[in-house]
Amino acid sequence: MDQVKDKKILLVEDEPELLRMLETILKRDGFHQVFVAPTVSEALSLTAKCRPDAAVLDVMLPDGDGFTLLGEIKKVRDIPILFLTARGEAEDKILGLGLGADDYIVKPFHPREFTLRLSAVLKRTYASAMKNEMPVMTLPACVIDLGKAEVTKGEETFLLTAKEHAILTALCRNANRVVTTDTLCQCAWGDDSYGYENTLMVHIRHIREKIEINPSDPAALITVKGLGYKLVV
Amino acid sequence: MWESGENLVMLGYPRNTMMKYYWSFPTHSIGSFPMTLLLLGVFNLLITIGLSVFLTRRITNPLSNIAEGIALLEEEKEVELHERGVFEGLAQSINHTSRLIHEKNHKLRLRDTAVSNWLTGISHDIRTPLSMVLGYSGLMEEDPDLPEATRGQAKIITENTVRMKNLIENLNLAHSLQYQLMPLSLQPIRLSNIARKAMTECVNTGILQNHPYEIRIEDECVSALLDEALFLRAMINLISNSAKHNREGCTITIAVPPSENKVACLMISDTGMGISRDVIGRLNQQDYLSAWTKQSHGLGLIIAKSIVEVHQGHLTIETINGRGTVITIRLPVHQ
Repeated sequence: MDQVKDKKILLVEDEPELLRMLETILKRDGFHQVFVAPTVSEALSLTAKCRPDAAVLDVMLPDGDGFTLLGEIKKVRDIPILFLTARGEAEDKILGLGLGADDYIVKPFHPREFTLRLSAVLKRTYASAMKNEMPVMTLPACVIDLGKAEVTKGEETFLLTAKEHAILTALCRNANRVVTTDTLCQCAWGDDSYGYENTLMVHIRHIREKIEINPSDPAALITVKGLGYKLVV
Repeated sequence: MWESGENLVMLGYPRNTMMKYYWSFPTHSIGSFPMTLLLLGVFNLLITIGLSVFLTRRITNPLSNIAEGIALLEEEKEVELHERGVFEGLAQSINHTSRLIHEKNHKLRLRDTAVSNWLTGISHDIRTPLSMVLGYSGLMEEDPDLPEATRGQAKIITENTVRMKNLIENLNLAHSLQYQLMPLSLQPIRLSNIARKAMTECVNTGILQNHPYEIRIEDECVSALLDEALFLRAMINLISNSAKHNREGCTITIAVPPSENKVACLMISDTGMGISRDVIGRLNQQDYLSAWTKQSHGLGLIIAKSIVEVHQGHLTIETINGRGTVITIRLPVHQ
């Protein structure tokens, strides 16, 4: 999704070397509109001038802290905000106090993690404006279009029911990873969904009938004994 | 006076040696004389009791003060007794002991704060340089312009920086668990649920590549009040410990038996080489720092044990050398 890379990113960090490194990381990963500010005041004037689409803030800044800056920025522009934090104990504060931060990254972090988290936040915020908000998965036997809630297998097209859609969405989001039956039940039936395991098995069988060539010998939606299911892509 | 015929005997006392009183009584007072006597007796008795109470008080009061002082000593609170009276010496030594305990505690607190501050300071200040190292090594690792060998070296730098980061995070976690600085967000969670989650996480992150696993849930419904993220971490630590120390492979099993006597139970066992008695012994030391510095085993097991303990649970390890290990976690059942 190239639209993500077109977004304007504001980086606020007081450590100049770290600021340069973050800029390098973002530019290498294709973000070409990156603005940097070492202080709260510069960040605010940049926000007014350049109208960024997302901001990455350090918690501790020379002329104030990131939390206050977040409030100031949100007053002017309602954009997603990601925190960089050096202290573990601030995590609760960031997510718990309803400050409106979208995510946080604890230093030190791998560059890949940084851009992944930023892209995820951008996608989440601007998804409706961009195409393909729901993933399309191409499996050897079929194509699953979660946006349209349909599966195309050869010539045939099957519609997915609401529960099947919820279960498949969870499996697609964690493609090639095992998802526990508990998590799948929770996705389909909400919290406290104990006791739906058998119903889940029925739904899985229906999904297999739609996406597998041979539903009784599944190749894509695999049972992981004792744990749950895995969608192999 | 005695008269006999004409003889007369007179007895006398010298002058000013005798006195004569005339008492006049109302007639009824003579009648109530036995009652008066009784009243006098009762009065006497009362005075005797009063006096004895007063005198025992004089002795027991300071004694009870001293007893109170000793009770306070037991709770390590400050004691300041009056150093007077019968028990002056005893009071002095109690006060002295109290001062000694107080000073010791103060020093201990200073030490704890120092360790705590040191840890926070180090972990805070090391994060920015580590960010730089990890950031650039990560960039180099994925830079297609660099030769293969250099990228491999960058990967080693990255891996080791991540190890340092994990070490600092684990030390911080162990510290806040030991001093109960960790806010817990407890909620009822089914043990079967968290067992599957932990095993799945280990499968997904590739910890269990070489290790067949088994999950045995005998009762789906046993639940306990848990901080999910924290408890999951303990379980993952235990599973990955089994995997790490038995690289050539072993079967790892999680079992959730039915609860007994309001105790929920979770067992993580492997068929590996077992944990040495030494390591288990050190694990039972009070202080995470001494448990850690004296062993090469890492913090994983120590953290898992502390996490179980902040949930009011117990972790026990049974091991047979060369035959495997069974780790049993017991928790209070949530109804």
